[in-house]
Amino acid sequence: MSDVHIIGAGIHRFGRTDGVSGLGQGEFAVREALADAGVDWRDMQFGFGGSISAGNADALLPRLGLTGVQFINVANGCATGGSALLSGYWAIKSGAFDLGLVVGFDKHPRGAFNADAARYGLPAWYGQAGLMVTTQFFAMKIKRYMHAHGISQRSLGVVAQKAFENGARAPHAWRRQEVDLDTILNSEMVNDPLTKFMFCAPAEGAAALVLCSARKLRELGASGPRIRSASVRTRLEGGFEVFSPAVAAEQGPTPTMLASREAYEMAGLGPRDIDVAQLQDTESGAEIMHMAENGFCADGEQEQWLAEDVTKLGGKLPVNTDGGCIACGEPVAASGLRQVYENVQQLRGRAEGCQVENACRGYSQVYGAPGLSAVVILER
Amino acid sequence: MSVIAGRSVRGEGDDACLVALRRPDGRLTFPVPEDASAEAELVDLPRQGWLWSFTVQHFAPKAPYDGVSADGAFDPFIVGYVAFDNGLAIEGYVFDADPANFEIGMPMRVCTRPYRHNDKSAHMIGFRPVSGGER
Repeated sequence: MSDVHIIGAGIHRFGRTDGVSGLGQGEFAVREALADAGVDWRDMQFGFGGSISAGNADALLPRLGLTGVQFINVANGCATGGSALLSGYWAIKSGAFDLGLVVGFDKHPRGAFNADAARYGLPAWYGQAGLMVTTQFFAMKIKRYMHAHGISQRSLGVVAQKAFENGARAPHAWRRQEVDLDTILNSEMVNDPLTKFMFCAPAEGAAALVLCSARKLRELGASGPRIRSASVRTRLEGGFEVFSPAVAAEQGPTPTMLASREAYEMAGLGPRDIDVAQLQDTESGAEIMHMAENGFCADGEQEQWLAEDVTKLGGKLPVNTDGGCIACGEPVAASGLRQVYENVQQLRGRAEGCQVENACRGYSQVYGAPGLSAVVILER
Repeated sequence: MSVIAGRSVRGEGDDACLVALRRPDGRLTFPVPEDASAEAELVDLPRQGWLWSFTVQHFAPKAPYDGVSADGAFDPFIVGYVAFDNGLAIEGYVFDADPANFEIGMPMRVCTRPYRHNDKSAHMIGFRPVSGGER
């Protein structure tokens, strides 16, 4: 089976770009990725793309050129970008293809997501009562976690503070101004214990990657990090996930734990081998819980890690070096690919402003509705 | 007055009881799916459990939430999970309570209450703290 490399990475700045459609942002990211790889759209043997709110990814084709290429729309909730990447990874790994593109873009309306109960197999009354609200889930998950593992309210603020600090240095981030801890802790309460500045917001943006087999890499004289592993996993029976009216009081492994273990196993690596990590931070509590769910620390140990700046730039394991979802916003289908884009920049030593020195292995994890997680491990 | 939880609840107010569907393999599903057949096996859930987690909904959710009055007024509400001896934790509103005094693990009892601003015509399922004499 062939090794798979990422030889090109492109991004359209996240945030709000009035006057540019989601599709337009997707096209921008694709052109940037192709130029970065030094290949032409006509060379692409396949494409996997997704968008939740900005049209069919396939609508990119008339803009890029109708070449007859195999192109597949991917729709997999918050793991849409990760699923597009997994699909491209296996397309090349299997030996069937040598060169292809994965892309995710989105443009969401302002304000929190409003989900349709029927789409998730839930009765209408659940939405009518105001329970189809993702922020409630994140608040209740971290509330329980804080109670069980002694995480402080202050730590929630410290994670957000780091996000804005890193976002201020990342060219593609949305929120590019530092915010002090008191402002974060004292900002408007959204869902206890999470304040406004601890949450990411739905946004706009696009990211694209050019994937390539080892054989083709040599032929092209191209370079780029190798995908050591990629995994997408869904929830288990009784799991406490977004939009779960009933859960098991005793929780088993989360989809993030499943995807993480699988990715480490595929790669033959462990958490200590990772130099830089991009972890889903829908809000600051999610980043804290995901530090443990991805095996980087024990439950509760985050309190000490955050006090010792372990996850800041310059720390032992920098997390969300571009400010993550909190600073970049969350265009759902692009978000997981933004994480991989950032890791590509890190491993190629071109993450201007937020470079982790000598980063050799990058880890990314995206989580979301309706309870799924995608993990990708890259190596320089 | 009606309770909006369909076949997932019997009774109302302090007499309410939550109802789950029992699948052929024995697993309990809550809420009862809207397309469950008339012959589906429905079972009552315990009436008393303990607070598993909670949060306060400070902003008005978007539609289809229908708790906002015509003039846009909205009452922040408490959402929580209550766990039962059968191993399930069920999500609902938390009524008659001040979140400042909440503690995970405190005993809770099933009930229904009005949930819309200034409108008592519809109830939502949820829980309330168990009062001193009840346990």
